[in-house]
Amino acid sequence: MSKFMRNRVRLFITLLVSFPLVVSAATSRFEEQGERSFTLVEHYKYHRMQYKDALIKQFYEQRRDANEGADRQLIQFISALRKDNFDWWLSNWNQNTQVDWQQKTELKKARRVYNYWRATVTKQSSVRLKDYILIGQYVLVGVQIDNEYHLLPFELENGYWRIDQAYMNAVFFQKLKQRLDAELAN
Amino acid sequence: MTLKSKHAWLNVICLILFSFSLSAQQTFWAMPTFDVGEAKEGVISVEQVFHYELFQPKQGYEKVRLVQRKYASLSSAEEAFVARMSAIASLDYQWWLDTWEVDSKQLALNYYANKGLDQTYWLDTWQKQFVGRKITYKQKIVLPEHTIIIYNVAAPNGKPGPIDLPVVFEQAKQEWLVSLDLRRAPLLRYSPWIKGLDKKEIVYE
Repeated sequence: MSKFMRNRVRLFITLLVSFPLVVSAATSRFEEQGERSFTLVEHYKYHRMQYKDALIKQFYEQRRDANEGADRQLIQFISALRKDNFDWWLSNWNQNTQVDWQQKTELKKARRVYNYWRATVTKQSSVRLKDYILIGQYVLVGVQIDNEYHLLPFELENGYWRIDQAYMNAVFFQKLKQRLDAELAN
Repeated sequence: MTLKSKHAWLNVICLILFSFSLSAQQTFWAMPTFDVGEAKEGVISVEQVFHYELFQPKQGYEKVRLVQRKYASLSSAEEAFVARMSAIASLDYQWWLDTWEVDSKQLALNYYANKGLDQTYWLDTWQKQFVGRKITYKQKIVLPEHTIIIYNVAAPNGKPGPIDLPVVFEQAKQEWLVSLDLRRAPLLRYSPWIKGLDKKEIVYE
């Protein structure tokens, strides 16, 4: 056998012996114990007050930086839409929401949400406050705009009531909104 | 009836009236500014079921064997974990940075910058809490898109440390990198694998 062939055979044997060790080091530190499941049940208590025929007829003409209550802030939010004032409308959202939308400028996230709300609220829309709900550190204000029910979560941020977009994505919030929505439909 | 006993009765009546007015008109930390009906208590419940695969270290494989960077790999979560621990134990800050997934690294570095946790802080922490300590595997949790390695760093006297720590990995292209994706995930928050918990119920008041 030539020297070249001897080296090739030696290399082959070395690889053959060492390869399982390499595989073993990469895969065999742990042994499987099987699939497990974990159930998390969360109960969110709240206090709900229903407005007594609160049809809103007076809206704001301009932005007011004052803590006049979560429901008055909702009226500012709607007033901004009636005036088609994007900056005023945006100022109703909390800092985390605004930062999140700034990071998604290429997706035009803020504008898309604004356009949704602009299509929801017109100057002829009837706006009726329905629910005032206290849950944790949040106040949820339910409002009927024409025939649609909307629920907006407000939190106090630096002394002002601001809407939290992330809170609206929470499962319990969606579930509560569905419940109130269904109640209104019935 | 003496004047003193008359006063006592008056006080009791006032107290009863005051209690009644409190129950009739509940006060909360925030109140509506339009007329509303009486407050009613409600509860909304959410049930979530999480599945995971549990792995325990094989006998004889509990100890984490550190490697030099030239022998390190990110080809699996386990290899990436070895690389991560080796970077820390060898006080190689750049190598440690390279074990992060890009977005998670940015998030972590921004957070650390706000807290004043710079390179000097980390090297000092690693020197005090990792260098020369025995690191052991405790568990491996496999989720659809992430793998969590739970480990323990021994005290200087060799006894197991007080808490087991998790590191989350995600696969980015061909590499497994440290991820902060699960930082708000309930499954990681409750880490049911630690005590073999299969259910937890929480009431938020």
